[in-house]
Amino acid sequence: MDPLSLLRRETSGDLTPEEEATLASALSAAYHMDEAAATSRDVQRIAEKVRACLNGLSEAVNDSSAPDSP
Amino acid sequence: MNFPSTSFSLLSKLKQQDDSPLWQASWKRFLELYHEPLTVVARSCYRHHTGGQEPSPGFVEDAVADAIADFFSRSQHRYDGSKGRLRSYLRMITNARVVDLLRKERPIDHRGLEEANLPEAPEESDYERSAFQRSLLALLIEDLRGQIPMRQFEIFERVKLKHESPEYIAEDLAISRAMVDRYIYKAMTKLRGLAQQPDYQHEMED
Repeated sequence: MDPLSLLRRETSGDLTPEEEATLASALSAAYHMDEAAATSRDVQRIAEKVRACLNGLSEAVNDSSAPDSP
Repeated sequence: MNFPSTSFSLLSKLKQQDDSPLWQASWKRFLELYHEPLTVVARSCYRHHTGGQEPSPGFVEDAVADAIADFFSRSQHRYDGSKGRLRSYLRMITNARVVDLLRKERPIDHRGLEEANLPEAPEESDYERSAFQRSLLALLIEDLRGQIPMRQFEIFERVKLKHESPEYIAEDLAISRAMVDRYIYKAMTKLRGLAQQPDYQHEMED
C-alpha cells in the first residue's frame, strides 16, 4: 500500500485499520528520518562538501567575469 | 520576492544564489530532506555503470554533494515542473554526477564516453521510490507544522509521530481524551488537504 495515495483519499473514514496503521507507520518513519538527518554526521559531512562545491563554483564564476589583468 | 506557499515549492523554486541566510538554509534543508533518496540513487547508478560493484561511502557522499551543489547553483534554473517530476530530475542530475566521478576515478574504463553520451540511469527501484516517498512525507509534515496552531501540531506529533498514548497526552496536558482526538482529527484533515495540492499530487503520481 502506498502511504501517499492513502493520504490523498478524501476522508480518513475510508481507511481500513490496516491502511491506517500503514499510513501512521510511514508518517512516523518520515518524521524520524528527518529528525535524524538534522544531527547526522553523514549529512553534516555531505553539507561541508556541498559548501565547498558551491564556493568553488562561485569563485569560478567570479574569475571568469573579472576583467583580464594587463 | 513572493515565495510559494508550500515548502516543496520553496525548495524547488528558490532560484537566487546570493549566500543569504535564507538561501543557505534552503540548500541545507534540501540536503536533510533528500539525502536519503539521493544516496540510494547514487549507489544504484554506480552499480549499474560498473557491472554490480559497490561504491565506497566517500564516493556516494561526493556524488550526493555534487548533485545538491549542481541543483542549487545551476540546474534548478533548467528544471521545469510542467515537464516532469522533481524526483526524476534529481535522479538525472545524480546519475550525471556519478558518471563524472567515475570518469575521474576510472578514466581508462570510461574513456570514449563523451558528455553528450551520458549513460542512462537504471530503472527506479521500489527502494528508491520508498525513499523519495519518505522525503515527500517529511515535507508534508513540515508544511503542516507551519499551518496549524502549535498546540495542535504538538499533540499530532506526540501521538501520531512519536507514538505516545492519547491517554497520557490528555493527562499530561490536562485536557480531555476527546479533545486530544479532536486535535488529531483536525491535523490529519489538514495534512490530507496539503497532500491534495498540485505540487504534491504531481510528485506522488506513479
